[in-house]
Amino acid sequence: MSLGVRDILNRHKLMPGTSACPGCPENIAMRIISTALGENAVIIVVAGCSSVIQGMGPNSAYNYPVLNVAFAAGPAAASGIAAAMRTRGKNVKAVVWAGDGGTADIGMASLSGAAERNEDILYICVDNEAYMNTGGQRSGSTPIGASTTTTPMGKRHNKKNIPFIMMAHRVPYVATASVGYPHDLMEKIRKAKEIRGFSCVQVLCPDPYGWMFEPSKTAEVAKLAVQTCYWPLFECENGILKISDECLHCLDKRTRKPIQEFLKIQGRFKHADQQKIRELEEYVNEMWEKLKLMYKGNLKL
Amino acid sequence: MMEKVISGNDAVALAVKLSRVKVTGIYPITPQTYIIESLSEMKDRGELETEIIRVESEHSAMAATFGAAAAGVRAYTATASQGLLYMHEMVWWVAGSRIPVVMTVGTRAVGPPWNIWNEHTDFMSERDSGWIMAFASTPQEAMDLTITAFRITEDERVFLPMMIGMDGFILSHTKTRVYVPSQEEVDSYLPPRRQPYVLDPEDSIAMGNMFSPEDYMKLRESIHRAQIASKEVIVEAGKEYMKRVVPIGSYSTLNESYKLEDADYAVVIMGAWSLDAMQAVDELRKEGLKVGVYRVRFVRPWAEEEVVKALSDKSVLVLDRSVSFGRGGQLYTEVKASLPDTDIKGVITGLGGVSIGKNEMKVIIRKFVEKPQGIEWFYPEEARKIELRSPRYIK
Amino acid sequence: MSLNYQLFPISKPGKGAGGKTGNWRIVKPLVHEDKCVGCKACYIWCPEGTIIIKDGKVAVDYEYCKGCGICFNVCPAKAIEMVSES
Repeated sequence: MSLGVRDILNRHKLMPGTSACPGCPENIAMRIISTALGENAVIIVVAGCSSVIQGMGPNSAYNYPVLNVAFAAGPAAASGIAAAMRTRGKNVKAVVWAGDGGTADIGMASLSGAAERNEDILYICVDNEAYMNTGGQRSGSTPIGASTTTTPMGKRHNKKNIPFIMMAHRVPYVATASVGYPHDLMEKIRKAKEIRGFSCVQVLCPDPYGWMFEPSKTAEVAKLAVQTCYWPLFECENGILKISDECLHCLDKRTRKPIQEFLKIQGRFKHADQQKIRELEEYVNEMWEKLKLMYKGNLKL
Repeated sequence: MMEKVISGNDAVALAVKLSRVKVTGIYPITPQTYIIESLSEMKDRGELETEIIRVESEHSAMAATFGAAAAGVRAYTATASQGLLYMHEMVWWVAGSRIPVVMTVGTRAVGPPWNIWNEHTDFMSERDSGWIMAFASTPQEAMDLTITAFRITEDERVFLPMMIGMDGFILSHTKTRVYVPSQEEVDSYLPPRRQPYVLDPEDSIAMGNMFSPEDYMKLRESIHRAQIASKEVIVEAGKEYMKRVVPIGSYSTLNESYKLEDADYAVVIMGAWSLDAMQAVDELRKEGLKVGVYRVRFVRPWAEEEVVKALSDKSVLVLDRSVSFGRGGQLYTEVKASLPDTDIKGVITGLGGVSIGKNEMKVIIRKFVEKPQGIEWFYPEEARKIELRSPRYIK
Repeated sequence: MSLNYQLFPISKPGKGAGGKTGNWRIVKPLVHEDKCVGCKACYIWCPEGTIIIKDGKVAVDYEYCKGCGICFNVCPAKAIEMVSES
């Protein structure tokens, strides 16, 4: 069942006039996700763009109860909140809202611990592939070859594959999504919030200022990432992998859109040398080989 | 009320159970490990209603405890030395958020080199954070302070977290007689939980998003004023505790005076070794020396008025089981700031678990009487003879 | 004892937490209602929530719209035009 557009009228929880940059994909993600999440949630916002997007006290831009916490504390604080809600007999979901820096780097231990304990939390990683809040420094989630302020000539190491790491933790639900495909994202959030256990969704958020493209093209780039198969859309429910419809064409190399179309629209790959681009393509190809095996049931992480 | 022979760790675990703590985030570290083991055993036997979250680091232990507390339930955690320093960021975060949380610190030396024995430096490193900080001298006091902590922190005049220090191994592991109150007695003493705000979808609030510099400064001043206001709350909570729960103890003042009224010399000290100091004082008095003990129980808030009243006309010796490198012992610095016109001697000793008992105390006090100024590092007789044996690599 | 000193780092949800963000604009979106088919793609993708549904079609809340142009980019009917703010 997918949510018709009529159903989502005014159900989102973002108050206009946030401190986000114009064209911010994290805001798009918040609007889409809050529509699917509904009322009964507490958002734990980890240090990142969203800490600032909420605006200045005593006003807040998120129409949810929000706990702002230190960088590495998100999943642990959410575990505590989930336990407290259980004790109080309240059906309220603890939702972590973290960036890629807070997920792949500093928050990795806390995330891994919460996943191992199968805590009843929903972990959302809004992935803009760098530490954008501080101006765009490289993170573990930055792809190889991308120019950031700490890797001006291109990052030397490849992207840390968080969804695969989470699948290896054998949690009930792991999914990837993109702000270019809102109904797919809403569906996955609706599913994840019903899980009694750990679920995580990694949402691709193309940042116009960090990735260097026109802010009006945010949704377009988010779609292109999926069409060129750079960003897979899939769900892994209890170890069973399901490739989302928008991505099925990626299973065959011949039907993939060339990745160059995704890379050339962004300024951050403009000066990347050919060797790094080849490694990036190899990364994408290898990822799809593994996804194919898992999809056919021949590999379970 | 029941009489039991238990250790500080056992006593604290019982206090957690009696205070009806609902959620605890735990991570093992010597010497606190068997608080959490005790809680886990009680839970598995069905005697404890606390939900236990076995997190993957101390930083997460404080984060989980904080999350639960912000979501409206009584929460507790325990740590020591390296763990306390690792969770330092979250310790400050909790105080700034004004959510009541209670923590036990089994005090222990900080590495390198590795050292698991008793020292107060880890505890003292959190003085600036905004937490109310109390230090126990017996397992009984560790339990009493833990129970009263829930009442103090949840008072609307306070709304600050509190930590209770307990000497590693000396108090945490040594068994003594403890009067353990009944569940009914503690229930009559602790009111239902209160906190300044709660995370609840029925009334959406955001905690901690950006505020202007001026607002931020006002919020910080509020923490300071709440600390000052807590002095009154601490005394009230202490007196009620002695009336309704366990009648022994000296909780009608923040700190404790022992044979101080007619004394010429005062020994300022904190922790389990205060009792050794009191024994030393008893014996020295027989030799005619008029000396007393001022036992610091609350490091924060600092009981300025009590300190000035008790010590301003005395010659003061401060014994520190911790040090702020480049300045001296922390208690020495605090007392000196309260008594600028008094001659004060600071002695740093007992670090890393070096054993200081009654006899060493007598030596220290006699030396102080001869020369009541300065800062000195004191080693017991046998320790003085040991030559540090690590190789010298200076090329 | 008065509790006036007790202040907490708490905020409540409200519009304009980032200020009057309409002032950030250099260009602004203009909806051509004759071309608009009411698909609400702009409504879904607007990062600020400043596209509002009106009579089956859409309108813009100019108080907070930042002029990013995503609505213009996603509109399948090319019904939105970005015009200069002045």
